Amino acid sequence: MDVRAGEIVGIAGIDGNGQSELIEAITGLRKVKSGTISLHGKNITGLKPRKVTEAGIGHIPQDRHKHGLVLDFPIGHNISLQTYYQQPISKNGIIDYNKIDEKAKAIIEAYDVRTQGPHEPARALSGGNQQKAIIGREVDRNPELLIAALPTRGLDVGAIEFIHSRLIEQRDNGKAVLLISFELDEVMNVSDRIAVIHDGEIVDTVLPEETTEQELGLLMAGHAVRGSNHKEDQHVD
Amino acid sequence: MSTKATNILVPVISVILGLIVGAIIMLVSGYNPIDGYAALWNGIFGDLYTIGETIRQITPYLLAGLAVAFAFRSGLFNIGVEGQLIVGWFAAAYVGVAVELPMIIHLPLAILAAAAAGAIWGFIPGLLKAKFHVHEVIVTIMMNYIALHTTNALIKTVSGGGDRTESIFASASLRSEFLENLTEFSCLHFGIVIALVMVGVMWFILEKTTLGFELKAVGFNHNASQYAGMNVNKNIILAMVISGAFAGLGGAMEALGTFEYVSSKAGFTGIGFDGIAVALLGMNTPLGVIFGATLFGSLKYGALNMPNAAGIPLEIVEIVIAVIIFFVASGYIIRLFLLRAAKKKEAK
Repeated sequence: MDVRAGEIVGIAGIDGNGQSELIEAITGLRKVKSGTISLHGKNITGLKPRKVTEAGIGHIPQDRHKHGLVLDFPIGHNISLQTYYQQPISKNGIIDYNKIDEKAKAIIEAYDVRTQGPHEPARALSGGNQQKAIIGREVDRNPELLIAALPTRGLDVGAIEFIHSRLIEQRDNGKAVLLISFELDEVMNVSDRIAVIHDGEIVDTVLPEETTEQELGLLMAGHAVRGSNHKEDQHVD
Repeated sequence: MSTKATNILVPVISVILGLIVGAIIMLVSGYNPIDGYAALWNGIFGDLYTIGETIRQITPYLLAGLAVAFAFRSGLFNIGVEGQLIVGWFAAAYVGVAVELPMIIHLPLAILAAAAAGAIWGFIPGLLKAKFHVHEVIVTIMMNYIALHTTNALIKTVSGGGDRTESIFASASLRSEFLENLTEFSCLHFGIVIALVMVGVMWFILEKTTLGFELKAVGFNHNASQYAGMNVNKNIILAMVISGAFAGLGGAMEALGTFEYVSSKAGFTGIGFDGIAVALLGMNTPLGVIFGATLFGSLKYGALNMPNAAGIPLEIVEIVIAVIIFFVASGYIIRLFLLRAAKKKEAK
């Protein structure tokens, strides 16, 4: 499958059909058994998570408490969780915490994160505000490919709306977005193309305006496999 | 009540409660608590000599506390501080007796040897934890026994069958005539300076460096640290190595300052285990460790005066000291009561 610049590809599938494994393989959190992953034609298969991040991939993880945040860290530290070692925050291994706070304040402001400030523990924020902070952090790096895994799970309508508009904005800025969701409505409304995953394989790719929820549902359940649309490769052009 | 007021009140109330319960224990056992506490006070602050000895006693507690606290902050429970301290003690003493060099080389070399020995003793459980997920508590406990008996055997070899090594050359000693004169010939040595510098080093690593950022992140959440691109295994090993080095330095304090030799031991020194309490009393922060080590060191040393000056048996003394520390450690309960009392007041 491939995700092009300036489009949102949604992955539809029932929980447990290989979505998490796919993301973990792309982001370097899991060893790739076969196939290749390339970004802008550059092979990034098997790179460590840090190298994948540096190559230009942003990742909104599906479990914000397990992977997305260090809950006992201040929200400000969390906003610099992948960039704390880079200039201008760090120089020769010494962190300038003023810079971490500055960056945190800017993102808190821009992404409407409701918090008492950068020093509040991430644990104390509501789910929606935690998620906004994560999205702010990932989008702020301006990644070529943004992977959003269940980005709106457990959030209220306002936060969902906000997050969808951010994903669309990212696409309109000419970036690629890969959206994984168990909500069919979300996949249908936000994606430009939908890849259906079943039993660890992409069984079909459809356009949201040419398909119905029933059709998607059947595909997700492993019925009516049309053609052989699956490739092992993941491209971002 | 403001949090600041609570923060000051809680330890004060804890100590007072501990003293009261300790007094009751002395009363019930038929001893005069006022005499007992007077003896304790004099044993800690009585004169310049006891103050010097108290500070000397605090020194290894500081480093043992730092070692435990540093590992804790990285999410690791280092029970092996005792063993790391013992191998550090031996390494420093060995370098102290084996060669004679100008002081400017000899003393740092002996100190570094102790830190390196402790670091190696920490590296092994760190490696096993990182690579094979062997729990560090089990490995470090076992490493304590290995340390104890291996050093005993080495001492025998080095000393030609004896129970202790020669005294170290003066060029490797931390003792100073200046400090001894200042404190009426106590054993106070320059180790306290090293220990306090290490408090600063730990604070600097944790609060100022990218390494500290990673160690703390790994300590809180392995998954998120991995997601963020940190090398979790490397950080686990490094945390144990640095923790072990602190503990090794604690051993150097005994080898190069207090005793100036190493003798074979029938059992553990206890300093490493007390370091766990020191770190926890200090909430695993560098400044907190100073507080914890001061409390532990001064009570332990001051208590030695209670049997002589007040005629209280050592067993009762140990119970009283344990009770005081127990109450300080239970600060959380007192905090809870204070908060409840404050809430009731508000409700009225």
